[in-house]
Amino acid sequence: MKKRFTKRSGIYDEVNKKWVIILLGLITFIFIIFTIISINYAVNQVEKDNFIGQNSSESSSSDISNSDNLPIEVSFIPTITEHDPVEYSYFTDAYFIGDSITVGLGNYSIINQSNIVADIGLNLQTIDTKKIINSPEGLVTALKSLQFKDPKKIYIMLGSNGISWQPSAVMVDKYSSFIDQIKAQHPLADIYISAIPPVTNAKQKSDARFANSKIDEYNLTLLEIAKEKKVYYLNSSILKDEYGNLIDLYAEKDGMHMKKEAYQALFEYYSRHTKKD
Amino acid sequence: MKTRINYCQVLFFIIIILIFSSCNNKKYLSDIDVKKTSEEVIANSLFPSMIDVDIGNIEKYYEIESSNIEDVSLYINASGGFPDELFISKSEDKEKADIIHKNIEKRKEILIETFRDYQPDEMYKLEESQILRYGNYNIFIVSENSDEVVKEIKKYFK
Repeated sequence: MKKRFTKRSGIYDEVNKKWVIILLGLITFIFIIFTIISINYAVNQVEKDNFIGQNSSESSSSDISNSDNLPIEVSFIPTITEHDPVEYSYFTDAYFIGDSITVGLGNYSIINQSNIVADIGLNLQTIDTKKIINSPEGLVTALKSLQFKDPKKIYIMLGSNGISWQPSAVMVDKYSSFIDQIKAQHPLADIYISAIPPVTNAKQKSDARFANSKIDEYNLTLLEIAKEKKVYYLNSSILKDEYGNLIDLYAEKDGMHMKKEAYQALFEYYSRHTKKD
Repeated sequence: MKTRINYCQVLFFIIIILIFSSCNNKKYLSDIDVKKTSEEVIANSLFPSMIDVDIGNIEKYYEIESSNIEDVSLYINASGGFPDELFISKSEDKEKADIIHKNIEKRKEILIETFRDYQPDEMYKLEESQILRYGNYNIFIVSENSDEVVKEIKKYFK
């Protein structure tokens, strides 16, 4: 009996041993699966935490900016994408500062004379000192004259008179300083820097001081100023022929000043490149 | 006695002639249309891209008081690159015409000052510019053909 029992218990032992092994295998399998799932979850959680962390740090900095009324830093693009032309009324509160080229804009009645703040021969050397505009206080400088007006847009085209004799670095300094003064005087106005026009091929050949390569180089520095000062930049491509020279039909006989057709083209370009409100 | 009579007769005729010529001249000048004359002179002369400046804007260039002007016309070069200019004005009397004459001289000085450094190649036009006076009319011509323009002007101011 005892032996039978022993025999039986041996069978039981064998059966139990099998089940124990199966059970242990199952537990091991479940453990491995669980471990894998846990590791996966943990990795996902870490990634998720990192993502939330980034977002929360952005939102927190944004919150800080907003709470402090600080502008959120966005890279400024000074060039403007072409759009349908604006109505002429857009320019009623726009003022145009410049030299003889800008004088032409008023003389040809492209822009109302009262919106022209320009004088023949004006350059970056004389912009702060030369009294050119009649005002309630008599003859005053370009900058001073804007004190008596309420410009919403200010267009500047300066440099044609200095390109032949003024060092580029001096012109850049003067230009930057002038922009600073205008911005201080009219912080809400949109400021546009206009590239200076090219000259005809005949002009650059007869007088290398006015080479278009030099003019293009100067205009590139104006683009840099525009970026730095966060003002808009208008190029002069509309006035160029396929070689980058002033279109002959647009030029007066000196190869530098322009006829009415050139101003009409320039105004069309201005109308199609305005800051969108 | 005979000689005395002759002198008197000559003097009388001279006075009569002067009176008539003066009256005729005055009548003729008063008929000149300043705007039309300027327009025709510009059309018949070699000026580069000229524009007719609005009366309201003439003050910007000449600093004239409207009370000194009865009629006025100003053409300037539109491109701003040349000193070419044609100014014709008519004043009510000699005194006012004299003031305008001084305004023209001042304008000439400003143009010289502007173009001396800016466009020295154009200075010859200012050196050869002409300021004319016919009665109470003042005329200022800046052109590369100023002599030709003067001839043209004289057709109107005989």
